[in-house]
Amino acid sequence: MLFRIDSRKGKRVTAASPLARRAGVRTEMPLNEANSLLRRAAVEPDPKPDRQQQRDQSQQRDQSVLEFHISEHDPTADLTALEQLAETLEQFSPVIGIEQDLRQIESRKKTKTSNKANARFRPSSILLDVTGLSHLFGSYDVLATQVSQHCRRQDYHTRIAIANTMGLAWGASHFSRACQFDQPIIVSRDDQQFVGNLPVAALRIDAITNHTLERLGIQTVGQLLAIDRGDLRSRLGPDLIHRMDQLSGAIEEPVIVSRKLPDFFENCVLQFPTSNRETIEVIINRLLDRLCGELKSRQLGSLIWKVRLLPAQQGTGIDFRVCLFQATANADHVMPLMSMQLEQSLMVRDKRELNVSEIIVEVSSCVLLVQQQRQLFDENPRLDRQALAHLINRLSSRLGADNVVYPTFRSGAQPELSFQFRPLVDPNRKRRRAKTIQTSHVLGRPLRLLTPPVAVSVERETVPESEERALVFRKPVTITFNSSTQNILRSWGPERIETGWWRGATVQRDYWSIVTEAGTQFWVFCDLKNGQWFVHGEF
Amino acid sequence: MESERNAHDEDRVSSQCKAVDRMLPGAGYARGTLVDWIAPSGCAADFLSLSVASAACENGGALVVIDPDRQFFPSAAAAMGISMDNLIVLRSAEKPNGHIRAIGQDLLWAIDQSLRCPAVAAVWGPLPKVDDRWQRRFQLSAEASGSMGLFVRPLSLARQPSWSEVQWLVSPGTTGSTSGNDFGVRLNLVRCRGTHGGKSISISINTVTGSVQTARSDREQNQPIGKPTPAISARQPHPQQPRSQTYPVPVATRVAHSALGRSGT
Repeated sequence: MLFRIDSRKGKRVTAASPLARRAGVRTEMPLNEANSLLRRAAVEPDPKPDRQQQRDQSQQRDQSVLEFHISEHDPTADLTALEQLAETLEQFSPVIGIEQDLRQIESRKKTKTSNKANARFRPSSILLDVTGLSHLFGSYDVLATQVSQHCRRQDYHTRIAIANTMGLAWGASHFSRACQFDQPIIVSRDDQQFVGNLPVAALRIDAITNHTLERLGIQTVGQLLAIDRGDLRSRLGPDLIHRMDQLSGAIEEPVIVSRKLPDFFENCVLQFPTSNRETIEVIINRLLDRLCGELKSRQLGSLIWKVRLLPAQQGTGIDFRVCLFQATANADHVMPLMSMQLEQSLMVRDKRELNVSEIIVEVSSCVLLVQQQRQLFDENPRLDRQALAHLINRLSSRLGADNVVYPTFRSGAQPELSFQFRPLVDPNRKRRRAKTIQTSHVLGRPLRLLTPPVAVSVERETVPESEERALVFRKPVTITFNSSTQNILRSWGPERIETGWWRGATVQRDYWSIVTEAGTQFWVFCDLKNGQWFVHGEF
Repeated sequence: MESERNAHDEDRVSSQCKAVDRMLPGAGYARGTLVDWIAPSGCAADFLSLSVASAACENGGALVVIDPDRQFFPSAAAAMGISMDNLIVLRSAEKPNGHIRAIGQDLLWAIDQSLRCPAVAAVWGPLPKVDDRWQRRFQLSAEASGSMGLFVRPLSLARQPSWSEVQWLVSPGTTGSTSGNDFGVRLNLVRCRGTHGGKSISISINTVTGSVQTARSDREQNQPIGKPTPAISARQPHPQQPRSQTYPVPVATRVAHSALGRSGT
């Protein structure tokens, strides 16, 4: 089960497995409610259990609850996984795309509404153009079965439909009862009964149009087809008619290829398949040399280098890529990084499983290489950009791109949200000069933030009753931290930090820099909502 | 077993405090060496070591920050004047689990690679106990490239053998100053190649300007015997009045204060 964190509504369910759905879990349900439903329905109770059975059932229930995997929804990771799966399906069709929003494709409406709809659109389908490919596999049935088995091997349960049009295939796979998980179906647009029984949601229409049709009592495509097109257009807009035409094939809908074709590639088909790492490495090196020669002759360099090891028999090969900080066409720079990736990829695979019959090295994101001549009196004599780029490439290869990062600053007063780390090796990285930060104190913030802040106990000074000083302006005098109480010798503050309501739950904090009698300096804050004190950093 | 004389000995990096520089041979830290600050938390060891890293990067080299527990706060570094353009932060792939106790092999390798790169001016960050072989590697890598390894280390490593050129023990100190913006730190020179260890100095850090000076109490103690100690007013031609706090107080707070008849916090 997946959930998202809504700034106002809290944690909400975004997706649930069939098992969880059977327990009554629905999307947009509060996570707490879903949890209690799962706990309750984990084990169906025996109508007449004895004491031992009751004990066993309660144990099973606890175990079953643990078996449910609940995590936060990550749409970016979803899309990446979908793209990776699409890449592996290239063995079945040369034209593969990820489903796209109609409005995004046509860019007809530039209104705020369409932008919002685009932001919410999350693709979940892969589209394969298999026109004229049946003879390569025997029949479309065999092709669909092979695709299904391929996805199953990668731990995906899929609903697959092959149809004359993309719209019909999408509708059948999403809404037809005949199409079950791992059981592909083949439908024809000539099958009027099948098309007519599909619900209107199968037309890929937006939620508002769907709701309007529901209120009008129109539930199936058949009912919709019986209505005059002119009336539908005038009342519900042109999108509905467009979708109907796409379903029937009146309007051609091409598959938009999701993967950018490589700029250059070199391949080597092995006469005798091998699983030997050294052999594979030598061949990659040879292909890399050829590719670099090609790039150099055009004064080009590449940021993304990809290696594909295709297996001799049916099965999944190995794909890995090396992303660079700076474009290069030098094989000596790329090969060590590829060797590292190859070693890591082969470590997780059983060598007997992998029998490589073809090796392909591809490059994309090629840019024109500009050679800068070094000046005699260099402004930054120590900063050798080339050496630094090689270091970043090496570090990113070993630690992972997400762990070799640079900071960017964001507007906002909340310290932990005022910055963001971004990977240095990112083909889409935009070079921006980091803005300077102007603060009143050079040493006003600690260099390390405790995440999460550590709860402490703090006592404020007492003031005579005659002095009407608000509680928030009373200085802290003692702090209990790590079960030891210390007097506070000096304190600076309060520095009030309040976040905007649009960021979710409001944060109101009063920060103090304090020096204890032991001579240590802390950065503490009082949460004004509940009066609780926390240490946020140590100087 | 000491290695041969460092090839980068001539190129010195200031500690940003003249009194501290005078305690070091060559009036500063040599490039291509490792420097340790052994300190309990809250003693401004991060600030002192990062100040040296900032000085080391002045000639254009990159600064590599080791952040194994994902606690580095770049806004504070930017406030110190650290250039974000040549800053590389290395984080551990493992999820942080409270305070740092161990450091992964991958990150140790990354530290070594960074120290070996001539484009890196300094590698800075917290470093818990690591194997002697790794420390030796760090030293050799730094020597080869001229990078500096500036590490803040826990107090438990105070008496452990080290390959560092300079090792400071940082402890809380007194400023002896009436200014509320000063923060006192005591520095003990545990180990320094080319001079005797055991020296100590009290310094005071101005939290507003970031300047590091000898603490007033220390200055008075270090006066030559026999000479009368001049009055403070004589030493400072224009003695500064204790300034009012300039900590940014929200407008609403100031308004509330003025309504209550108070000038500040």
